[in-house]
Amino acid sequence: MPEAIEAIDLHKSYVQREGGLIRGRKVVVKALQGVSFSVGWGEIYGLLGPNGAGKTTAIKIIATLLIPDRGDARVAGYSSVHEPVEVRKLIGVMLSVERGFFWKLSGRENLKYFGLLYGLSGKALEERINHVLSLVGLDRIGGGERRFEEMSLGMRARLGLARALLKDPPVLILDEPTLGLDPPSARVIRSLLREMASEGKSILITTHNMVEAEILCDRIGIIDRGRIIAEGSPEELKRSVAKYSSIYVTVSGSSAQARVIVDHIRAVLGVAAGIVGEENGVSKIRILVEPGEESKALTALLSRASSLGIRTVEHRIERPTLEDVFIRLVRERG
Amino acid sequence: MGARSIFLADTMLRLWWLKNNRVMAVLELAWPYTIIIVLVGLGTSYGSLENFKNSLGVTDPILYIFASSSVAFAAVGIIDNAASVAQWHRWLGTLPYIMTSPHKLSTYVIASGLSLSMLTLAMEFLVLLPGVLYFSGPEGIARMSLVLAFLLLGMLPLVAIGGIAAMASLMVREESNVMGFLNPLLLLLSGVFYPLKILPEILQLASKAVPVSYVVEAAKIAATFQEGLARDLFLVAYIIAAMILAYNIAGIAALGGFETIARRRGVTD
Ligand SMILES: Nc1ncnc2c1ncn2[C@@H]1O[C@H](COP(=O)(O)OP(=O)(O)OP(=O)(O)O)[C@@H](O)[C@H]1O
Ligand SMILES: [Mg+2]
Repeated sequence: MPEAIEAIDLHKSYVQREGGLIRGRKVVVKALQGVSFSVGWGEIYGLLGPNGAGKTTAIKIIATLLIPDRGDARVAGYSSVHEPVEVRKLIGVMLSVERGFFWKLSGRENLKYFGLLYGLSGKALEERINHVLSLVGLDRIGGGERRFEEMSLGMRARLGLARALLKDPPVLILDEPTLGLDPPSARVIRSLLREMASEGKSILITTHNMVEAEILCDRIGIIDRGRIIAEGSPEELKRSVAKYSSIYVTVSGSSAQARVIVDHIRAVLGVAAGIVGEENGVSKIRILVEPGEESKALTALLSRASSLGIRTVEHRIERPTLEDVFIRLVRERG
Repeated sequence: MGARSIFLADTMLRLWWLKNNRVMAVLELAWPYTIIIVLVGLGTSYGSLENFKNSLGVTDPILYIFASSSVAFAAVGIIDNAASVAQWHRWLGTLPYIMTSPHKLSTYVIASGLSLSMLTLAMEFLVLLPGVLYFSGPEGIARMSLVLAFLLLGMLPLVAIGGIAAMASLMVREESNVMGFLNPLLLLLSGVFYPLKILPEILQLASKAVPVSYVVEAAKIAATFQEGLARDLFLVAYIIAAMILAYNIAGIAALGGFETIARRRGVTD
């Protein structure tokens, strides 16, 4: 079976006009400069990048809305460039949370319109609409009957997702599906996407929300200025940038007492450890361990301290976050 | 065919829209009568019964309103309607979801423009029925139905041009119909508001190539319909049918190319 989504060496430039009609000149903006990635079935892939990185451009190309200058995109093996009709049968798209519907129509009327347009009709359409409304939880809050203009952003996002799911497509392509949503609404969307992925759907989302990318995505491509600059699972990405987690433990006692613990940890676990501060009768110890080894190291340290009769005041584990990765990579280039 | 599901969806869309916009709906239904009141009551420079007599040769004001405004808003209006449908969807942000439907964008704008024109026609027809019954009785209704049939037929030669207007308007990224200039030109050449006689000879000649001229011609024949004129009506129908082919074969071929250019440029925002 071909990959769900493949982007192959995508290039795209836009021509923008600057200045007036007479004095104006053309400026070429290179939105994509060779973007490649792929998304498997049942996988949630996140394109993570700053404003203007090219996320939306990439999404539009895959969704058949835009033809690249070079390269191709494939959905289940069909070319988005050359076989748009086939691709359109397989994708559900959401490009904006707050617009894209008819303001004066109710949620249900809006869905009915797109259902008719997508070739559904009659009882089958009615049932499908009821189903997607309940999937996104709009039925419980009266979203079917409310006009789009009167909906909160959270309801609009759910309606957008309901439309994307109308044809029950195997591939979902969503541009910032939680942009501007409050945490509860964003959580509803995320858990629904998780559910969809577990049913085998392939999901491509863009975001610049690190936390979301980290908890939602199986794999992430960090895109900046039209290029993918790093790719992998959230864990892999974090490891690639920050090799270690830091554990900070504050113990009562002098640095000499703390030194005993540090030596013990070094000897037993073979990791880097040191004393980073001493004041008012407490000492602060820092241990560097590989991600995943944090609790083991902490347990060893705490038990050694208690056997020496040293009281630990507090401890804290600092794991690298996706944000560290993002800032480091994007800054390095900027 | 796909055009049918577009047609159904977009007709429903407009009916829902009217249902949810009551004031708009009332205004839309009432305007033909307000014009009639102005025409009959005051007589204006915009048009008068005298004018009507000259161009159509009949004194039923209802028929005049129906024929002239329908030519403007439906038969010639198909170009404007197709273009404005496209602009509207871009403005709403619904265009990407139209484009990712199974239909070609050019098919969509044409079918949707037709649905808009036909709904306008149908609504006006229904609203004017009591009026025409009052002025001309059942015979008036027969004449008006005949005019309606020719208006419907007369839209078809222009659909490809409407499609091109829509696609071109999207591509230049401006918020208007780039072929909007065609509208007054076609109306002028059709002889619906002014008699063709007063135009320079060259424009009179050009008017022969304009499908809407024949719709107006048919309206005249229908308005004054007597025995023996059926042959003339058939002749006009044949001419329009020939124009449907002539105008659309080239136009539809061109639209295929527009589709790709639109996707290359990006038209959704
Ligand atoms: N239609 C267009 N015409 C001209 N330039 C464009 C167009 N669309 C995007 N661009 C430019 O291309 C670049 C990439 O834009 P794109 O929308 O793909 O970025 P993005 O990653 O989605 O950004 P954001 O996070 O702000 O949504 C930007 O510099 C943008 O200004
Ligand atoms: Mg974007």
